[in-house]
Amino acid sequence: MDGGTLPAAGTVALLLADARLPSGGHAHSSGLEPALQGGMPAAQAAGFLLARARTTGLVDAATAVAARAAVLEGGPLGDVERAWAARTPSAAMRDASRELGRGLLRLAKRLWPESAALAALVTPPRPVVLGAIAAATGLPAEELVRLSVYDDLASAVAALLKLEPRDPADGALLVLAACASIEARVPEIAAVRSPHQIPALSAPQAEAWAEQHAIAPRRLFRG
Amino acid sequence: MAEDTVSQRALRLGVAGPVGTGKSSLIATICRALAEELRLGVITNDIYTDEDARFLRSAGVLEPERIRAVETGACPHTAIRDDITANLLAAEDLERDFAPLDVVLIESGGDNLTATFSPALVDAQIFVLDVAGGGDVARKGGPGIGRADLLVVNKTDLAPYVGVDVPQMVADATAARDGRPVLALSRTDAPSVAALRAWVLEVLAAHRGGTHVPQDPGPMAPHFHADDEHPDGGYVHSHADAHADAHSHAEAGADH
Repeated sequence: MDGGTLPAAGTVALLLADARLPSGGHAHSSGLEPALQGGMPAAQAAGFLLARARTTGLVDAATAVAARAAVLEGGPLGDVERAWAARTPSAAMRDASRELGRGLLRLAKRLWPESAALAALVTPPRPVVLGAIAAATGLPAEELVRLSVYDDLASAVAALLKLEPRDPADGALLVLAACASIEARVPEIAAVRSPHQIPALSAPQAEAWAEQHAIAPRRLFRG
Repeated sequence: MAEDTVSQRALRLGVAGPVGTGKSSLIATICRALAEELRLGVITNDIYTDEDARFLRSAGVLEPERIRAVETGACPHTAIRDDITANLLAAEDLERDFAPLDVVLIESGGDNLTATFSPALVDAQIFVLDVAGGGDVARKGGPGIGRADLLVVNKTDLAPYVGVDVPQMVADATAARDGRPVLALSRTDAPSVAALRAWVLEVLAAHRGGTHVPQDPGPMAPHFHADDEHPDGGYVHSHADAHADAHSHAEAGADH
């Protein structure tokens, strides 16, 4: 950023969590449309979000934390990305995350042009970009975990309101409840320092739904 | 545009308009008319997956690899106006993969009368109406009808079947556009296709020459307010007169 005054890390977190962030995220449903198309009743959305939070949500959050640590401590981001890919077995989910990452990276390069770590990224997944942004802006690890999980779940609920409309206040309750469900694990995830510490928390049913959705002829969302 | 090399890259030409007016068909027509002499690429914005891209690939007007689909997450107007990230990435990819390209045609997802492209995404834009949508649509106005670089009144060959007076519809559209061009088009009417071809080449020349400046059609064009008390039955009202193009209008955002 130019000028002598930098935005507070908390403000950066608000910006990144804002659904109005211009990074192409509106085309994604965080696995929610794949689940509905795969036969999950809409009434089970709360359970879906809880499962998403403690599996994909924590893998991504830990990846973001590891990426932040790698940038701050001079470690290679490629190792973080490989560790994330090894823990994200669905190719469709990896593709969706890289697409989100590219959109976010395009924006981040404009906002933080001084970041060599951001400049060096090519097709990173979303959490690696988030981690590099956190390193560039002083965003603490615990806030990064919450941001990564919140953004993912809020995308799912925004898609839910388009696919299975309901009182949007119910959607907000779902997001907060799912975020709260992993709060006890935030310190442990925020303490991740190296790629091998990223937990392997897979969600086989959601991964299968993602694979089916990627080749579905009619869908509204990318993944 | 941020880049100062703007005229070095391909002309990015948007095609917007309501669903079913023939945007994909218009792009196929442009490809047929110009693929021999220009290096073209196409990006489609679909509401459901990549149906328009598939239509264009199957039309055989361009190598299938030169036609890319952007999926818009049920927000086709967002993807061309306020968050153009996915379309910019697709345009940059296409221009890199097939460098050098002369023109990248970007089709909007069929949406509504108020959806137009951001000038940060396209250098110029065509807005497409069709005679089957009714002869009065052009009179209703809207940013695309009023201020797109070109307004196409499509499917003129259908006019006798739907009871539309094409010259009247074109006259209404011209009146709503302050002299900006209106083209009555049918893909089966060779002179109209030739006029479309000439318009694209003219805009490309202006783009390359650095004389073309991308314009935002704006969130709302001058429009007619019906008023029984008024001697003319109402009045034409232009927000641009009083507030310039940045003015936003409550009606323009009401669909989202």
